[in-house]
Formats: sequence, structure tokens, C-alpha cells
Amino acid sequence: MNYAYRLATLKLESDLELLELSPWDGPAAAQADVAVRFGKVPLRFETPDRVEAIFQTRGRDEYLLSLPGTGRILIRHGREVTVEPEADADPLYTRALLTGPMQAMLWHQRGLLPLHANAVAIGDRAVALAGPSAAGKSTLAAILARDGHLILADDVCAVDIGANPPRATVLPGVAPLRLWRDTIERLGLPLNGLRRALSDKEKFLVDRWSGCREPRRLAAVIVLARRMNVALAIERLEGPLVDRMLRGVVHMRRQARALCREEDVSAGLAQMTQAGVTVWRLKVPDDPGCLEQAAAKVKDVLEQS
Amino acid sequence: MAAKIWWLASYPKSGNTWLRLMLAAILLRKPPDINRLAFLGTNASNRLAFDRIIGLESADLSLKQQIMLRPRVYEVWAAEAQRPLCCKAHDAYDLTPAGEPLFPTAATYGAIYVVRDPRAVAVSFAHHTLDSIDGAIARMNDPNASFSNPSWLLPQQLHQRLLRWSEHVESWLSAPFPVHLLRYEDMKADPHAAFGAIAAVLGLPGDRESIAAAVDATSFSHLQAQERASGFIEKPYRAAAFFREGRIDGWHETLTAEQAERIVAAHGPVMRRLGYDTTLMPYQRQRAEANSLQA
Repeated sequence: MNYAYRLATLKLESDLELLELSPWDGPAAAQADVAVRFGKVPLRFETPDRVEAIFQTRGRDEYLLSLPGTGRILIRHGREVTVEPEADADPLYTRALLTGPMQAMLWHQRGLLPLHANAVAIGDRAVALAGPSAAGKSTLAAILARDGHLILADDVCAVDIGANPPRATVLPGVAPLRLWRDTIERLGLPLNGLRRALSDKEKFLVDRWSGCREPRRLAAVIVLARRMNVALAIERLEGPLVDRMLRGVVHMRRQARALCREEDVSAGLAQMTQAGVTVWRLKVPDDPGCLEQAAAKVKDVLEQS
Repeated sequence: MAAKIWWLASYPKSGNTWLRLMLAAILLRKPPDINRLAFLGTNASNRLAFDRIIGLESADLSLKQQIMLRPRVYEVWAAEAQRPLCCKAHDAYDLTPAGEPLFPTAATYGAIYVVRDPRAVAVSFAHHTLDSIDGAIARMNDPNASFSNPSWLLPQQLHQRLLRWSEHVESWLSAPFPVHLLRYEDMKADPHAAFGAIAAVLGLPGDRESIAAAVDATSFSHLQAQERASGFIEKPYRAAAFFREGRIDGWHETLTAEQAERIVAAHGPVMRRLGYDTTLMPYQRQRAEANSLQA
């Protein structure tokens, strides 16, 4: 193994350099919790339980991704990640895949609930800014970080949920934000010296703000809904809508369902609300200039949660 | 597969939205909400729908990977559909880098291909993209023309390869499944006949009363009024309005003779094949010629 990193409370050893993760700062002799290795990955499972467009699953703990242009990745038991790249695979895309969705798969297999969200620590609590690609999650997180709040996780927000007593805790994840040039320039930040997150896109790793190293109690999930011609508004959701919106922001949910983990997800979401996590919908017009005002609304939510 | 997909295909600004609104009005039997057309079927370039099926963020995939995976997405849509889907597509009918059709035949019933006089498209396209008319004409003649592929930000839609306007037309008309050609000008001239025929193709209620009600519900003035009242989610946020004029002959007043000639020079054979009169000129030219004759 060439590299050792910290992913939340875990030690992750890797054959690949994963610039998004913090170097391991625990005891050097500590055993790895997760190992990412180059190796042979089968074309398919001999006895898959579910076969989808680009992945297969077997049981609750084996996931096989076959991605043209990248290669095959096998994740087992939340501990082993084996990567067999194609000959011309771009390592930056492989890295983004491992630190993004494959991280979410690890959390599912380890029994945690990964949200497709950026998590920001505001005081001693966390807020998860959830939503699909292009919703503005990372931009909003960047604005909050610029204003002095700590980044907990970019894109994958791992929530540790407990029942007695009910608790929902966000674990620290990937701290650098991955921002598009458009956002970086809008925030008035220098591009010089930034490392590219992807080789042929102007998406950069921005780690100028401090990351939060400690878990934080999840106070609120704010689901971003970016639309043309809507007025900027935030509303607290109640009743069945809460469950529906939360299900929509579970990272790799289709894959979790294929791993027969839908009940785990349902139970986790229910416990999250029992733990007092409030759920909000933030309507954001398709005008990047509005995200500054949106950030102010996020801070208001924390005062009400 | 549970059902398949009808592709509602067109070059941008050719009447695709009107077609979808008509189909929605026929199915709903009431005026459709212009912002709630997704029930017909998802747009082929919808990033969110792609991400949901593939389970990875398209933002973190290369363009080549996105294109190669799109047929898989459409196969899943078809496999999971409870009824036939009508999905909008602005992409040309093209092959992926793996050599397979972007729109898989096995998941496809066929296509309704909406076409509009490229001289009118150029004017509308310029307004839509906040470009000059010359810019729009150049784009329509660019074999590498595409939508939604900037490298510096993440657009809501996936990259869409358009090709040249006439290549776009030819690509769809030679697709290996039934393609029903629908001219925008025919939709305007006799919407009852045009949409009645399409309803028959799609197996929708095509009785005179249903079509008449749908035509009335989707009149341009109604659509403009809805856009003014509640906005339209498909309008680029800098464009003034999506439902702008909807005329078939507006280009006569807007294009210069040289611009019209440039479009004909680039796309004349396909225009003539579609029945467009390539000898027509902008009014200013006709007026000038008439004046010189009088003099």
C-alpha cells in the first residue's frame, strides 16, 4: 500500500493517491479499516442477485461496478475496494469515483446512511445541504465556509444513526470542496495553484477553508430545489413529504436497494427524524447570484432547529 | 421491456415544446401546465434522470462515458415504464463512441421528428441563445455544434450533439425505426390535421373534439400567458421569453437577403426535400425588387 488516509474515523489504505482525503494522522501501526487495491476484478458475479445497467450485486455486501472508460471496481463488506482500471483510464476520474459514489457505497455496506449532500458545521451542529448535481450544494457550502463555518463533507455526507437514545451524527468526510471555475470566479477566489478535480473539466479542489475534524450532531437537512423562475424561499417540510424528500437524497439509493438495504435506509431515515433532524426545502432560482441570499436562509434555519 | 419510447425529436426551436404540450392536452383532456410535462416522458438529456439510473454523477464522468452510458439509461426507462413514453430529444440521431446508436432501437417504438424552416429556426435560435442571427446561422452549419458542454460550469442538461441543421434532419429521417415527419408549418396551418395524424400514430384519442380542445388549450396566446404568469422551466434564465412569436413567416422581416441565402446555400437540398421554398426571400428584398420593377 502506498498511501494511508483518514476517512471519518477510519484508516483507509490505498494503492491510488486520493488527494481529496486527509493523510492518516493516527498511530502508524493501526490496522486499515478499508483497503483500496489494484487487482483483478471479475467481469461479473457468477451468481448475482441483481444485475443493473452498469453494476451487479450479490447479497448485502458485494457490489461490482463495470464502467466503460474507467474499468471495474469491486466493493466488498465495506472494507475491500478492488480496482481494475482499463488501459487508458484517466486516474483523476477514477479518483473522483472512489472518493464520491464509491465512498457512499462503503458507508451503505458499513451500515451508515450516506446522503448526497455537503455538510457544514455551524457551531456545534451540522447542516446537510442536499440535492442532485447542479443544485448548488458545493457553492452554498463554499459561501458558508467563506463566512467562517467549517466544512464537514463535500458531496457525500455520512450519517451515523443510533436508536437509544435517538441520534444522528455527521461524520467528517472529504473536506476540500470541488468547485467549478464559474463558482470560483463568482466567489472572487484565485484559480492559481488549484489542483484539478477532473482532467478535462474546469473543476478544482478548493481546500482554502478549514475542515471540521470532529463529528457533529445533524440538526437539519436542507434539500435544494433549483428551478427556473421560482422565488428564493425556504419552507420546513412536515408529514409524508419529509420521508419522500429524504429518500430522494440518499446517495446510491438504487444500489442500496439492489443490496437489499432498502429497509435499513427506511429505518435510518425514520430514526433521523426521531432524533430531531428537521427537513427543509430551499427553492433557488436558476440564477447563481441568489446563492448568497440562500446562504443567509440556511443560517436562519439553524436558529430555528 | 415493459414499454418503449417514442422519441419526440427535433433541432432546437422547431416546435418540440408545442408538440409535447399538444400531447399533454390530449392525454389530460384539459389545458396542460407548461411546467408539468414530465409525465409524458423524461427529456433525453435530463442530467438528474441519468444520474439516478446510472447511480453515478454525470458531472464526474467524462463526456465520452456519458455518451456511452446514455443508451443504458434509455433501456432502463423502457424496462421500467408502465406505459409508452414520449421523450423529448434535441440530439442528432448518432452513434456513441462504442459504435451503438445513442437511442437504442430495442427500447424505441419510433420517433416523431418535428422540423421547421431553418430560416425561422435561425431567428428563434438567436433569441433563445442570446446570440446574433449570424452566430445562430454559423452554429446551424457547424458539424461540431452542441448544447450544454461548457468546461467551466455544470449545466442542468447533458451534452447534446446537434451536428449541422441538415445533418440533424437527415440523421433522424434515416434512423432504423419508424420516423413520422411533422412540419412546424403544417402544425400552424392545420393543427387539427397535423396533430390528429400524430395522435393516430401514438394511439392517443384522435377524435375531432379532443384534437380541437387540445389545439385551443395550446394556442400561442395561452402559452405566452402561462409563461408570463408562472415562468417556464425550459427557458434559459437570461432569455427574455421562451414562447416568443411562434410565427412561420417572421424570418421574412428579420433576416437579410444575404443571411437567408447563406442558410439556403448550406441546407438547400434538405430544405427542398422537406418542401421548403428555397426561392423565397426576405420581404425587404421582395420590396426592393418590386420597387425597382415599378421604377
